[in-house]
Amino acid sequence: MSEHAGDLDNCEHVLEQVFQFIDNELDTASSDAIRKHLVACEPCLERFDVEQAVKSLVAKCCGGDRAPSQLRSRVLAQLTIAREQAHLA
Amino acid sequence: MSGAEEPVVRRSPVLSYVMSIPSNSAAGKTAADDTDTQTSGHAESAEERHARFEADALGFLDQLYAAALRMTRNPADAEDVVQETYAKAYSSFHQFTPGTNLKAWLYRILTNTYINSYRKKQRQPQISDGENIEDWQLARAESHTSSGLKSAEMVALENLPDSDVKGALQELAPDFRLAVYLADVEGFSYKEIAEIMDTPIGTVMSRLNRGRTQLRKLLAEYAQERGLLRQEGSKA
Repeated sequence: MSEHAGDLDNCEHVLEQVFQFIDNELDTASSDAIRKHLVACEPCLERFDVEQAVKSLVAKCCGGDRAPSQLRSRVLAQLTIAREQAHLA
Repeated sequence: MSGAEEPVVRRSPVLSYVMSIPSNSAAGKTAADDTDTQTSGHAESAEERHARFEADALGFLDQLYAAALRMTRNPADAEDVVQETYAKAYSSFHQFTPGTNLKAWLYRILTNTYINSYRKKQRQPQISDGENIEDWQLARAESHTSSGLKSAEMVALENLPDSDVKGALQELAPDFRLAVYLADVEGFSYKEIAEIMDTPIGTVMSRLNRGRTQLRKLLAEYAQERGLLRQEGSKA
């Protein structure tokens, strides 16, 4: 399609790095090059946006469980016992 | 319909997200990581070490429990894994170097505990991971021809209930699930994940790549079942 600004080889190279980019694992120069490409290439940008959306979704929905209070008590009790045993040893 | 050179005005989550990150950001670092910088000249007594363990390591209880819950997929096993993790961490705490990454150290013990004690007995059906296949092509093969669909997909994903997202993550093979969890929920770097999972960075990248690709597929299926996304997503 003519609206596609970047050449396809470049898109391929950019798409290979989508996860490193959204995980902030690329150096500044590589990230800048990708950002420059994304500003000009809507299809690649959309692909990046979807991957970012999935990442954000996991971050939002999959963590944050609180340990039950009895687990905290159990761990503390266990540490106390371990300390006492260390004293006796 | 003006010129083809029209700049992209749509607000992009990726661009705004990435721009907000300082270039040398340490995503996985939390305030708690910095509390263990005890640099006293004298040898630490057992009592002091005990206090330091309680003060520093116990702060990660909720996080470790949440991670264990994703690993084991049930609360009773998660509690056991966490308790065992703290027992092991306590007994080897003298080997931990103050000032280094306590959180990653605890996660490594958690991961080992899970793999050694629980994964074996769980015998869970899992999506085959086929990790030997180097498939960087996966991301690439899926070309970006159907651009309108991606926006629809994104809107659909964002309307999924939390339980669906958790459910989809749970369906991934354990190694993929853990890699994705450590990267996305905990914000660990690839290097940290490699240390926690005791595997080369290339393997971490492969697990993230495959795990996320599967996850996206699963999420799209959930969205279709809920009528949030039309079936045409299956055709490229």
